[in-house]
Amino acid sequence: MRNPLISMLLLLSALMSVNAQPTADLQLLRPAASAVTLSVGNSGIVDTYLSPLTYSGWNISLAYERMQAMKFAPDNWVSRFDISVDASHGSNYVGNGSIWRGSLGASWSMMRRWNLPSRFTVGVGPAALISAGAIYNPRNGNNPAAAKAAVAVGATAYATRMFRIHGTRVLARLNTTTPLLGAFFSQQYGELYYEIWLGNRSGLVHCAWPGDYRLFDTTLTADIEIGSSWLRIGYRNFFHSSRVCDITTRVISNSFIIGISGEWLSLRKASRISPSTRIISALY
Amino acid sequence: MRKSIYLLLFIISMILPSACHPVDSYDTDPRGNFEALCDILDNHYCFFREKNIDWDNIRTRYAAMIAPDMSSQELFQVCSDMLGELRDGHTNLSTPFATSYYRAWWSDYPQNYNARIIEQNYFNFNYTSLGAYYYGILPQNVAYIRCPSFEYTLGDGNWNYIFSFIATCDALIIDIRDNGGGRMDYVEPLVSHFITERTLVGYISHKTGPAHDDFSEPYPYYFDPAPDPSILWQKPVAVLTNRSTFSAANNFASIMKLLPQVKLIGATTGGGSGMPFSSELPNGWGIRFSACSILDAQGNPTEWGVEPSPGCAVDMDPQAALDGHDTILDHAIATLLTK
Repeated sequence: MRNPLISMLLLLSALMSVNAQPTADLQLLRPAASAVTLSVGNSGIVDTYLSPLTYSGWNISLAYERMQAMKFAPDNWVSRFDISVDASHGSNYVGNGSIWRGSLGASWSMMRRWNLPSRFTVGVGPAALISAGAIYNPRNGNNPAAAKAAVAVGATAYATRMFRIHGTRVLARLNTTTPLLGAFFSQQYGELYYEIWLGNRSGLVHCAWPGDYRLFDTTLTADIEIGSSWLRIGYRNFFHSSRVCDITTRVISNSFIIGISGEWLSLRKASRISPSTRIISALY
Repeated sequence: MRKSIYLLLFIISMILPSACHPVDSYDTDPRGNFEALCDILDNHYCFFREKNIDWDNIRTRYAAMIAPDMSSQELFQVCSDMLGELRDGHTNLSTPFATSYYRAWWSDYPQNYNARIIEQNYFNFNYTSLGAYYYGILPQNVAYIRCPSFEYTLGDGNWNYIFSFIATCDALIIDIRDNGGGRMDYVEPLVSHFITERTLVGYISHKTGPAHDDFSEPYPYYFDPAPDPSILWQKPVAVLTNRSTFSAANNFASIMKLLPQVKLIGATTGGGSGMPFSSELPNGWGIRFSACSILDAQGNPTEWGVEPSPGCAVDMDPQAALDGHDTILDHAIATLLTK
């Protein structure tokens, strides 16, 4: 019994190895498509634990993104990692109160992709998301801040199309990510953080599902080829709405994106790119 | 391609608004601000039941006084009068021109404290100041610590210095009259020098929803003795209170009263056991109100104040005060020395 099992594992391992490694006459290269972007725009923030009013102001975000065709099936699967830090500030309607929001978020996803006619590429797949931050209202005494944290699995999708404008390559891309199931932190309706500090930690973690925790992080970008790198410009819509313990939180921002992107290859010193080398981009 | 993008943006713009969880919105006119104020208190105020307040009735009565063309000052007066019905020193409406304040919790009672009498006639101004506090030793070899507020605190090192300075005294008086409170977490550093083991000092209960009876199970909280090598005072202690002993100081009084070596002397404290929350109205006015109830170690509310220890209820004699005597302090010295 033992020998057949080992044989089967060895055979499976060999098959996977054949699938993952380039053959002698066909070298596969998987460049990492990376981007560093800055988003600047407006924001609307409301958190009823702090105030029933909506605060409007600005939002700024710095993000890093990395996409790559996956090793086990580079034509069909791509991975995506992104991390971003957001800061927002808003004022109330009459301008005598302000609110601050800070957030750090990251996600990792793998997407099945399809190359469609007319040079369209689309991909969709599962994602893991994590975020932490706080909303701070300096006007408040014992309830000045609402901490935010979430861990979730969700879905992400993208669509790209490469085209040329006056001979310059432009890659248009729509990307969106949303959590579907997870857990998130929220204090109870009238609970002070003083009570949490005293040791009462019950009822702080809640199930996140689309009924009570909704988030869409959507970008529409155009990468314009400039020499060996690309200029990324675009639009980002960040939408978050949650309601738990009768506390509603809503954050909506619309931002202009500018950044640098490019595809990067890591080559060993001795290796060469032969005419038969095939480069598989994560994006198109 | 362009049509596809327009279609996608259209779909997103249709989906996002419906994806929002609802948030109450109010007009910025007097009616809208009044309604917002009423809703905030209706949903969050924590003493409707204890004070037997019919908020719907109050709301209806005052709503009749709201007019669309009333001035901000007139609206403030109506709202301020309405908030007065809560009989709560922690409830204030803050505007650019005034802050509402319910005063009857202390103004209906004798003040029972005159700082100058003690500073001049008992210490001849020879006391030691440390931060907001001051301390000294009375001729009867009784130590005196004046604690005017819990907005400020002292570190363990400061407290250890004070307790080592008064170590040879036979007893200690802590005067928290006119102490209007401050931060709850500043109570523990002082209490921790009077307990020798982890001690249940009270419960805290918060609202779990907007209904008037939506409260969490009271959560017990404990204080620990001051860390080694601190001085733990176990000799007799008198805590002097008056009606203006409020909020965090009220909490301090309720905790100290638990301890066997402590007597509360003076008048019933002013209460203020609801920890206040802040919110705001559409016109930017701030509203603060009691939202989270602190109970004593027996699970009882202290919103109405903490009574002096049996046989220790005493007021300042106004005639004696004119002669430079603080009869509450005199009573405390006598009680401590006859113990």
